Amino acid sequence: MKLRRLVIRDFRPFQGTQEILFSHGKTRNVTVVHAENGLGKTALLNALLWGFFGKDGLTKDIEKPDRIINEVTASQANGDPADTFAEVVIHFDHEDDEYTLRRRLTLANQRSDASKTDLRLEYKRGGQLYAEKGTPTEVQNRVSTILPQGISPYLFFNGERMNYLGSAENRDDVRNAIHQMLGLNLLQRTIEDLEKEVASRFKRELREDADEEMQRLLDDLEKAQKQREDAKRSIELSDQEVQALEKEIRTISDNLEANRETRELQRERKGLEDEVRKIEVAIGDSEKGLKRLISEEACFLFTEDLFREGRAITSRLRSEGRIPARVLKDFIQDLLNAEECICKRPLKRDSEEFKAVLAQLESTPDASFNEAVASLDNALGAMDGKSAEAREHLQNAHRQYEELREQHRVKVARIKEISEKIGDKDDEEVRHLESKREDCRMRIRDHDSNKGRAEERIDLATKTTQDLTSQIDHCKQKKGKAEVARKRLAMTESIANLLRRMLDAETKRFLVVLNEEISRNYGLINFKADWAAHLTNNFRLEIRKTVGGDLIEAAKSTGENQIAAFAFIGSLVALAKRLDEEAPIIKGIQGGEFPLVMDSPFGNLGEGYRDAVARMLPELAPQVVVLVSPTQWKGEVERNLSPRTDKRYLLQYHGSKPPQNIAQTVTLGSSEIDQIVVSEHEKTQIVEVS
Amino acid sequence: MSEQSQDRRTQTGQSASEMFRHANAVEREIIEAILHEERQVMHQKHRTKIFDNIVGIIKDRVQ
Repeated sequence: MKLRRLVIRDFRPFQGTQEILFSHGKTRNVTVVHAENGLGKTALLNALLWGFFGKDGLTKDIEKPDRIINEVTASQANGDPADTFAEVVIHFDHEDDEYTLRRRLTLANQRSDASKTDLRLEYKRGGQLYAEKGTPTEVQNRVSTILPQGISPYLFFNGERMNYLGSAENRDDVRNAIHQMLGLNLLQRTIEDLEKEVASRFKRELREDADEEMQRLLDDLEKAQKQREDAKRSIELSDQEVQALEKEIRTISDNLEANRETRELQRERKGLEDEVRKIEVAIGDSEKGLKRLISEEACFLFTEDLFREGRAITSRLRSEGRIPARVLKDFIQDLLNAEECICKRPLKRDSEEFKAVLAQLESTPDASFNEAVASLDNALGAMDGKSAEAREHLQNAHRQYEELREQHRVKVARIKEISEKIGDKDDEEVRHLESKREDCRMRIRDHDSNKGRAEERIDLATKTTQDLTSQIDHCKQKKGKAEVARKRLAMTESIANLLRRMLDAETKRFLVVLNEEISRNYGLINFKADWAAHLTNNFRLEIRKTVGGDLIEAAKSTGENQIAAFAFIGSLVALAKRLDEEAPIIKGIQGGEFPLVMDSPFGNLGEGYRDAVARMLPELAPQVVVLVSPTQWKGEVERNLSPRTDKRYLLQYHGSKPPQNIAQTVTLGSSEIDQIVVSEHEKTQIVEVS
Repeated sequence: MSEQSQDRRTQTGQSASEMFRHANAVEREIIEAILHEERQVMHQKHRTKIFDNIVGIIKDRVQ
């Protein structure tokens, strides 16, 4: 998708009809809108979001979201309230078509229900103009196929509030955004439809004509599938609860840290909890290492006697001259063929001498015997010292495992001690916070146990489902119709299963590729050489630093969170664009071009970071719209973005009470432009800057 | 996709395109036809129609 033009009419502070043309060139892909704080940057961002998604799309920080129509226009309306309206028209290109989206809210609807808007979508394809038909919901869903609402927070955002990206609570949103931007949502949706809707239709058909055994199998399958779905839902609910509880614990911990009475103890506990988490990861790795060692090397301990015995046998046979064989079959055969012994006596066929030598042939080994003896020698030689080595490896691994367990025990004991000290404080508020914290921890533990049990139920139900599906697959039906329905059901399940494996493989692959991008782009912005940004397998954006050769999660500032988020968003948009240009695995599973619209993206960044972010984003994203105050624009941002900017605008204040501390004029490039124009009614005017 | 990421792809096991290539011809044909349907308009009213079409696709090819 590429934005072409935005036309706003009486939307929030924008009175009358005003427009913005967006830069869309390959090298000049940046549109800049300058505005001092409070003069309409967020309103402009919201005009785009409202256009695409209506009231549901507005940013959470917007005040009075039900008041969309410009207040002056609304107050001056004196005719039919259906004739007064706010409207946003967005012209954009998507794939090979030119779209015009038009959303309108009348004053009559604003007074009753501001989410009731009129939405139209037209597109030009091959020179012909078409209008999307259907109810507003249907047209809205069509818009969502082009720009899914789930990805809007990653494309249209307030730069100063983008820290949420790194938090654990948003990992599902992050995963969905990745799926949507990289085209995998098509697979996800298809799998769900096949498993639910399509399979249930074939089951219905099968049930209608099936014999008793099949009926029973279908009933059991339905039960098992329901059990699995219930268990999955239970895990999802527990996950949500745990996320909320973890958030609550963080808030309580912050409060305890802010309290002078408990500051030091809470800080120590926080540090210890971080260490415990890392030790738990290390214990997990150590357990895996031990299991691997046991499966690969423990056999040497149990076969030690066997090898010793083998060596004794070969040594005895060697001393007896039985191995290696001195006389081989080929030698005897040659004598028989030549009919002459090595002592030169004739070996006439059927003579006693011939028979005696022939009898030797049968008991004499051939050349492969000596090869086998050599191999056995090698194999026994290779085993020398193996058991001692394996014993040492296992002892070391076990020692390391025990050390980690001990460290864990000591730190957990200290945490417990600290918790008791905090809980015993005289301050009632502290005691209350600590007890609430403990309650949250207990509830998390309960949820973890619930999840464990639900996972067991899922495993069991999955196995039962697989068994039953296989039985259904093999249970031939006598009646023709039921047999065909059975085959169709089997095909539906087989395809859903294949698509699910493909989705998992693609998700894993994209995670690797995306992490390569993130790592490279974060490296371009961040100055700290030993720091790296990384998206975990759980879709959590982490910043890690190298300490003593180990990568650990770093404590981050707002600015550091922000640059990691920039690296993530830039990388995702760049990867989606690259995938859009490549041949897809199957038509439809591909990325796309997406614009980035950023309100105040440089606010929390230091000078060096501003420079790097301003340089990087227009390189990564196909189209960038930056809403920026003149102060944030000056310097490195201007130097990097100016050569890539085609269209540039200023939001000008009209009215009698301008916000304080705003200069009358601003110098942009070579022009000095009024930021404030005194007039009777208050409004924001979009002025093009040449 | 870069060479490096192609290499990584093999490290993560069989890739989605390999899985698709190794599916039998009927499965491949059905998958392509179903995804074509799914790419059509997503809204609820048309969903029922899409399910009908997907059922039709499978019925046509599995008899």
